[in-house]
Amino acid sequence: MRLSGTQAPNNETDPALIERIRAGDETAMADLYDRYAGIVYGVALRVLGDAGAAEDVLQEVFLQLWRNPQAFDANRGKLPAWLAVIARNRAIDHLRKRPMENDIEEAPVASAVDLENEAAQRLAIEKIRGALGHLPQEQRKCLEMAFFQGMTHTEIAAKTGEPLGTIKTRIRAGLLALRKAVL
Amino acid sequence: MTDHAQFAELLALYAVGALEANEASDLEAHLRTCVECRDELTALRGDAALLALSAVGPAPPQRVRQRLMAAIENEPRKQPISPRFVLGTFRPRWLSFAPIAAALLLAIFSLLLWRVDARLQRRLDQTQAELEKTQSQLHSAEELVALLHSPDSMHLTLVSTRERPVPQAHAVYSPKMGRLFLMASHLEPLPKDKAYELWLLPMNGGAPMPCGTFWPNEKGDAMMYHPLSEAGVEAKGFAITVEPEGGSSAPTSVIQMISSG
Repeated sequence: MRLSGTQAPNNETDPALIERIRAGDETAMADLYDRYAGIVYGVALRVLGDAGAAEDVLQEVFLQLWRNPQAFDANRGKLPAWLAVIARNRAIDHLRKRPMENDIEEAPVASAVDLENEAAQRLAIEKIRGALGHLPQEQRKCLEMAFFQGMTHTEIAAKTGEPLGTIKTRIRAGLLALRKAVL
Repeated sequence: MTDHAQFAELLALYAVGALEANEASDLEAHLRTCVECRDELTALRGDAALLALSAVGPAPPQRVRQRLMAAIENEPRKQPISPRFVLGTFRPRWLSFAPIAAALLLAIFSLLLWRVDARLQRRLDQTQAELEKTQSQLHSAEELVALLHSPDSMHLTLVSTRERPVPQAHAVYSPKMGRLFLMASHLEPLPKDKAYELWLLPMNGGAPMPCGTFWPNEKGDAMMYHPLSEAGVEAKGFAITVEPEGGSSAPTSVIQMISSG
């Protein structure tokens, strides 16, 4: 499973690359793309189920990062995790035919897993898939509906016939179980 | 249960994007004042990111990388010296040739320095393609200087046909070289699907010839260096219209600006 482009790997840290991007260095942008395009594309494709649309979201996410690199605060979170969440949100906007926000949201995203190179990403993804496989099915379904299909908890409750409180509990429990599994 | 506790319960839903819009804005208001909830949210968004990672599969096609880098090339440069600063240096009246030439040369050198500075910031291991591109851009700059000095070059000022504000443009054209250089200021902004287009009005009374499209930056300034499709065309003057963004082969709208004398 090839996760990123064919360029030679760059050993700079994410914060160092972001600094260079802030200074207008396009090659730093290319390096960052090679490192994380696979993640952004994968999430967008999963949400949208359409390669062309996923490519549009991929381009949009990185272009916004180029225009607005200060939106990401390297001291408060991890870039690949942040990109993954941004990718999901942009893809859901696309899915719901909402205009994509022009400002990348600034809230940080923590990450317990190392994702800065291809090998680390592969390892993390295997662990996560394993953890998901072990989740109770109802938790997994709720997470899937909320995160990849963009449904609100009200919509999930209506679709499954379960009470709102149950949906809330399942999603929270599912997330915490994922967190524990990759520690 | 306190408000805080109620909001804390919603954090996981918010982290996966499952709250209704009004619930989300209420929670966001709470988050602005509650560090504990913000920290918990950061962690929960991290868990949501793990969920996102489970989706990763085939790599994206190379064409996206190419399109992205091309789009970035077209973005306004992040540079300390901006063209607007260069234009500000010589906004005064176009009364005689010598101060204009000096001011324009200053603009050229600023442009060259700006370009050279941008190059220096790139990584030293550029590919041959990048080197060739640099060489061709410097060649264009050399041509530009020759255009300014060419004995047969016409220097014209175009002014708005309206009263106020005063868009203004200065065009330098050499029929022999078949090259044109335009600088404009105080241009009205355009919608995304439109562009300004420059037209050469031939001396022989023929149809206006397209001479390139350009867009103002956020300050209303624009610069364009355009090689014409044929050399040797004597010009009576120049005009500017607003066209669809890809340009037109003949003017489709009223003249916005036209050269005088």
